[in-house]
Order: sequence, then structure tokens, then C-alpha cells
Amino acid sequence: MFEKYNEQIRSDRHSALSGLLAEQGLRHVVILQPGLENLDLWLLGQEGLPTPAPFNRNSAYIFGVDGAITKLCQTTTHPTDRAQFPHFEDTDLSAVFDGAPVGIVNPAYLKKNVRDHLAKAYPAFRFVDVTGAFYQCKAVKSPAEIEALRTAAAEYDRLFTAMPLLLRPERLEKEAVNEIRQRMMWQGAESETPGFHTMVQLTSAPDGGPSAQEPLPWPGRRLQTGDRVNVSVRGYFSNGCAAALGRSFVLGPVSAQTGKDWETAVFAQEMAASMAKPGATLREIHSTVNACLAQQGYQPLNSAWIHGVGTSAYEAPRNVDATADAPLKAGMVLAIGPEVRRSGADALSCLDVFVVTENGAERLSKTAPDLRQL
Amino acid sequence: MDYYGKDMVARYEQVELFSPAEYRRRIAGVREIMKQKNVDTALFLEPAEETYDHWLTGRRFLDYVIVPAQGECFGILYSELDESGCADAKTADYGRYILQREPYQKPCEEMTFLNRLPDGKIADLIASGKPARIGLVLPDHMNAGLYDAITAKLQGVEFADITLDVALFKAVKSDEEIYAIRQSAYVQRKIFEALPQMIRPGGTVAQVNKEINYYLSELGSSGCCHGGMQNKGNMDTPAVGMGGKDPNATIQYGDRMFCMFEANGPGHQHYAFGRHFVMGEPSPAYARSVEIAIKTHSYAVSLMKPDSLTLAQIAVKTRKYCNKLGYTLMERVGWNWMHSMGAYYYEQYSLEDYSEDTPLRSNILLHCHPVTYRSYPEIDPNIREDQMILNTYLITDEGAQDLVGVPLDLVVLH
Repeated sequence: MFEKYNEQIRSDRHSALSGLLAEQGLRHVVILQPGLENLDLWLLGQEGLPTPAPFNRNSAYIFGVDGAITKLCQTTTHPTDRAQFPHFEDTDLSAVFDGAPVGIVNPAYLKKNVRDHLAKAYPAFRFVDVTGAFYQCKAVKSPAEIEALRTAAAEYDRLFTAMPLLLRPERLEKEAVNEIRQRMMWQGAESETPGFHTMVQLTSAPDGGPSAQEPLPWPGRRLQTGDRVNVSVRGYFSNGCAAALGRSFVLGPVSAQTGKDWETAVFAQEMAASMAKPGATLREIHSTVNACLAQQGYQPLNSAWIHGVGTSAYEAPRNVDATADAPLKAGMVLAIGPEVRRSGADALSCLDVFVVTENGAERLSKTAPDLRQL
Repeated sequence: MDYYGKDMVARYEQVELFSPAEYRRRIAGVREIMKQKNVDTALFLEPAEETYDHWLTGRRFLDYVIVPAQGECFGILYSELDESGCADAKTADYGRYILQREPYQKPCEEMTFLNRLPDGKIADLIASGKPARIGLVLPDHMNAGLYDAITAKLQGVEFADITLDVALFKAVKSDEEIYAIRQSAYVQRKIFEALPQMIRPGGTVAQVNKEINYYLSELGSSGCCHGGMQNKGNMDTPAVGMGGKDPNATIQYGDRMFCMFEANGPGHQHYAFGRHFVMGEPSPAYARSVEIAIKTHSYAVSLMKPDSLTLAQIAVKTRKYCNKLGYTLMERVGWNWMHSMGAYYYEQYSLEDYSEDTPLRSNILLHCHPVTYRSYPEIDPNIREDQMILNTYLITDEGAQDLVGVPLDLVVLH
């Protein structure tokens, strides 16, 4: 397989990781479960799409402060992979496990067979969990990474120019989603694994009403004149970066209520973005936006509506876990799309990708935050 | 294709063709194996491998599936969908996910979905049934932390590897599964039949592939959906690399192409096949190379009978047959050219894997693609070019039955 790398991005990341290791007094770090946040793409500076699950789950990478990377596998791999991913047992790691502590990322995914082998082959081995610090380090993007993420965001802007064409009455939702994915393929993004390449959330309903309760009977719902269609697309572009964009469309005149709800969704996003400055936390932003929405009679936010974006479409920090309390830093890239919902109605969400700056988060995507009447 | 009365999975992804009774059949089969092996709980450790996840729950990408001898079974949602994990063992909080917002529909009453839990909570769940012996599927994937947590909570617990037994049970397809597999074969056949209209001199393979992929999705494929042609260039010059000519180069008379489908269809079951195409009459040398590939493939298929040979034995015999023809079968460690498929394009039975020494059974699906070599002695005696035919068969008491109904022959276009 042809592999392409961005040397500047790789160098930036390795510098940051080496700095982290130096701070922790470590010479090596073992990175497990690279499926999480697509750590393999990140570490290698690879320009490509994520490895389809589950093929990357059991890979492991050892990074040294000298920049050397060793690629291994924790399990007996499938027949065609054995040459590419040697097992820990088949590799001399005495220079790594020489008695000095070794950093580990994602220790929960250390396989028993590997631990048993290390204990036998390198009795003095000792791991130091650097997972939290690693993800914090990864969350801050270098200028070259931000430019790459801007390029991915631009591809999603390009995709959304096709929405008025593909969202037509009498089409099935399934057909619209297929076309969105196909168009992303034509732009260079594959869709092998629904959850990991081009992820599409599309719901339609008569404007002002809630979408039908799932499961829907085959063949699914057909778009109708007068429908409000919510489309959020998250996924990956072939330069190794994730992106996200979400808008709503109405196939006909927009009702006053939907217009007001959309304005609120955009306002909530802008409020969150203005607060996303160095030192702020996602928990504070979540609380403030929630309070504002509650005052206007909207339902509380209860989803992962603000989170990091990088080599993963859903990475730290996140408003739904402990990283919600980590102070933001300039250079973090966030997907922000608060879901504004009245009781009994579907949520509307204006979703974009932003970069945190000293003056608040700056939008990377260029698609106007409008509710489109088609 | 009429699926009225069936429901859509994840709103628009695919149609659910399997009944709750089918999912119960599968769980009951696992429990029967557990009884035979004297285990109280089955723990599927990497169910996304070989798609035990989809087989047991109708959903892809689960971290674990837990099947106790009685009572509720659990599907634990994938770490990658909820990277931060969740501590609530009672339910699945779909608000944590950026993709799946609506709860996963239960495939049957016996199965419940939960968020990804820390190892300690997974161990609690397993320990609640007080198993004395836990059957492991794919034990190599056991996390050290989970092992420690289970053994701490269940002193003296034993583990047994039940992988092969479960894999062999899963390999035998039910009537519902065979129906779903046929839907995938029908989809691929429809597109294949339209290829002569799509492939035109002056057109490009990129254009053809765009249409192939579009229709695979339109007709029900979702997720893993490989379909496409490679233009290997003029039929009497060595092929350009693995992927062939630039797909944006125009197709010329004299070009030969290979088209392969490897995709699921409505019902999420995989099917795969591949055929050769040539633009214009084939040269004798090219026609002969395809003929050898077909003969070698057909010979291997003729040996696929239940309770007869194993895949390893079929491979040995096929190699000898190929040598007798004056050709060589590809020797590459890991080239598992016979394997089954289900909700993904790889599962047991498989050559070069842990089931290769097990005699075949009726109603298993086998995908077959032995690779022979074409040489170009007049150009360079060292050149060896891969040549293969792909097809997938249902093994019956009468032998291998082709499900797609497309002849193996070279397709000549004018």
C-alpha cells in the first residue's frame, strides 16, 4: 500500500512527544490500541484514511526519544498480516526494557500474553502511565496540523455545496446518505467502516415536528416537500485529518418556530466559540450554554456536542468525560455543535470545526451558518 | 427485492433480514457448546474479528459479547465509539456517541447493549453469574487488566478456549443466512451484468468504479463495500504493478481488466467474486493464462465436499495439480486463498488459520481464489504475474454450489 507522510507534521508531533517524555524522565513510550484517536496516523504523520476497524486495535507502537518507531502486534495476527506486524515475542526489545521505566499510553489495552512475555523476557520492566499527559499533548495542534485540518474542513464545505442537489423530495433518506458518502469517496475519502470514515447523521421530518421513531420499516423514510432535514457529517479526509460540518435544510418555506430555533442554535454555537479561550474548560462552556438555553425554554444539552478533532473525529477534550475539566489551550481544534431542542421536537445543530485562539475559537469551515430553504 | 415487513438498522444503513428467532438460534448454539465444554459463561474477547459481534447482536463493532448459560446476554459497545468509557453498567448512554444517537435495537430479548465499561465493571458483570469456568473465544485478545479483575473476583475460576467449536458452529449457515447471502450475490450479479455497458473504449476504469460503488450502496451494501476494476494494460505486456494502470487512463483495445466484488448486501452478509475482461479478442497466451487460473480454481472447488478433505489437504492437492499442468501455485505465507465469509469478508473456515485442518461441513460458505502465475518468456523469464479467479460457494452434500451464477470464463468485449 502506498503510504504518504507529512514530514513537517510528523516532526512537530515527534518534537512534542519527545518533550513530554523528557519531562517525565522517560526514553521510550509504548502506545497501545491505536484505534483510539487513530494514534497510528498521528504517530507516523501519515496522510491517509484511518485503518478500518478492527485491524488496528491490536497494533502497538514504541516511540523512542531518538525518533525511532517500532511497530508491533499484541496478538497472533491474521495470516496476511504476520510479516507486517511482528509480535512482541518475535522482537528483541532489550534496548527498550532495559530496567528504565517505560511510558505507556492506553494501559487498559495491554494484552495478557504480552504482559506475561515481558515479565518473562524482561523481568525488570516497569510501565509509567502517561495516557492523560499524552492526550493533552496530542490535543494541541501545531500550525502545520491546523492548516491540514483547515484543508479537511474545506473538503466538507465543498461537500455541502451539493446538499441542495441531493436533498430532494421523494428521495429516500438512505439514498441521500449513500450519495453523501459517494461524493466524499469522489473527494478522496472512503467509507469502509460506517463509524470511522464518512459518518452521516441525517434525519427528516415535517418542519416543526419530530422525526419518526426508529426502527423505521424498510426502505426507510422518504423526503417530502415541507420537510426539515438535519444533516451532520463527520469523518476523515485523505490527508489524515478529521472534519465535521452540520446544517439544517427545509424543503419549502421555513416555519417561524424553526427559524427561531435555528437562530438559537447558531447563537449557542457562537457563545460556546467565544468562550473557548485558553484556560476555559469544556465543563464551564457546557454549563453556560446550557443555562442560556434553559432560560429560553429549550431542553438541556445531553450529548457530546463539543469535543476535540484531529486525527480522530471525536477526541479529547470532550464535554462528557474527565477531560471536560482540562483547561483549553491555543491550538486545540474543537467541533462545536450544541443541539438545541424544544420538548417533543428534533434538535437543530449548527456544527463546525474551530481552532482555539487567545480571542476565542475561530471557525475553520466557511459554509455560512444559515438554515437553507430549498 | 422486496423487504416489506422488515425494519431498517440504524435508520437507513441496511435492512435487518434476520429474525429474533435466528439470533436466539445462534445464542442457543453457543450455549449448547458451553454445555458440552462444561463452561458457565462465554466471553467473546474481540468480537469484531470474524464478526461474532454482528452474528450475535446484529451490530458491528462491539468490544465484548458475554453469553452466560442462562439469562441476559450483553454486547459491550466499542471503545472507539466512546473513547472515554463510561462507568454505568446498567444501560447504554447513547448521548456519549457522536454517531449512534438512537439506542441500538435489541436483536432479540436475550441481548442487551451496554456502554464500554472499565475492566473492573466488565468483571463484575461476568462475576454476577458466579461462573466456575469461563469459555473464551479468541483468548489471545484477553486484556491483562480484565484477566486480573476476573480472577480477583472469581477465585479459582478456570478458562477454556472454545474458539474452534464456536467458529465451526457459526460457519454452518442457516436458511436465513443463506437467504441473506443470496441477496448480496444478486446485487453483485446485477452490477456485473451491466459492466459491458459501463466499460467502453475511451472511457476509464475510474468512471466504471464510480458506477460500481454507487450501485453497490444503492442496492444495499453498507460499510465494507469493495468493488472495482483494475486495468492491467495490454494483454500481452506484463501488468503494471499490483493495481494496474492509472485508473484515469483511457481503456484501449487490447487492454485486459480484472473486476472484483467483495461486499455485503441487504442483510449485511458478504459475497465475493471476480472475473477477467478483455477489450477485443484475447491472444492465445492471455487466454491460456486465464484458462489455467480457471482450471486450478475449478479443481480446488471440485474437492470441496463435506466430511472429506480439509482446506490444508485441498491446498496440497491443488498445488500438485497446478504443477502437473506445468504451472506454479502462489506460495506466500499468509495467502489464505480459501476462507469463509459472513458479516465480513473473512471468517473460519480458513486456510493458514486455526480451522485449516478441520474437515468441511455442509452449508458452509467458501471463498476460493488460488493464484497461478503467467510468465512472459519472450520478454523476461523472471517475470511472474498473478492470475486468479475468485468465486464463493455454498458447500452442500453434492459439493460446492455457486451462488452468483456467473460463468468463470473470460469476458470478451467488443
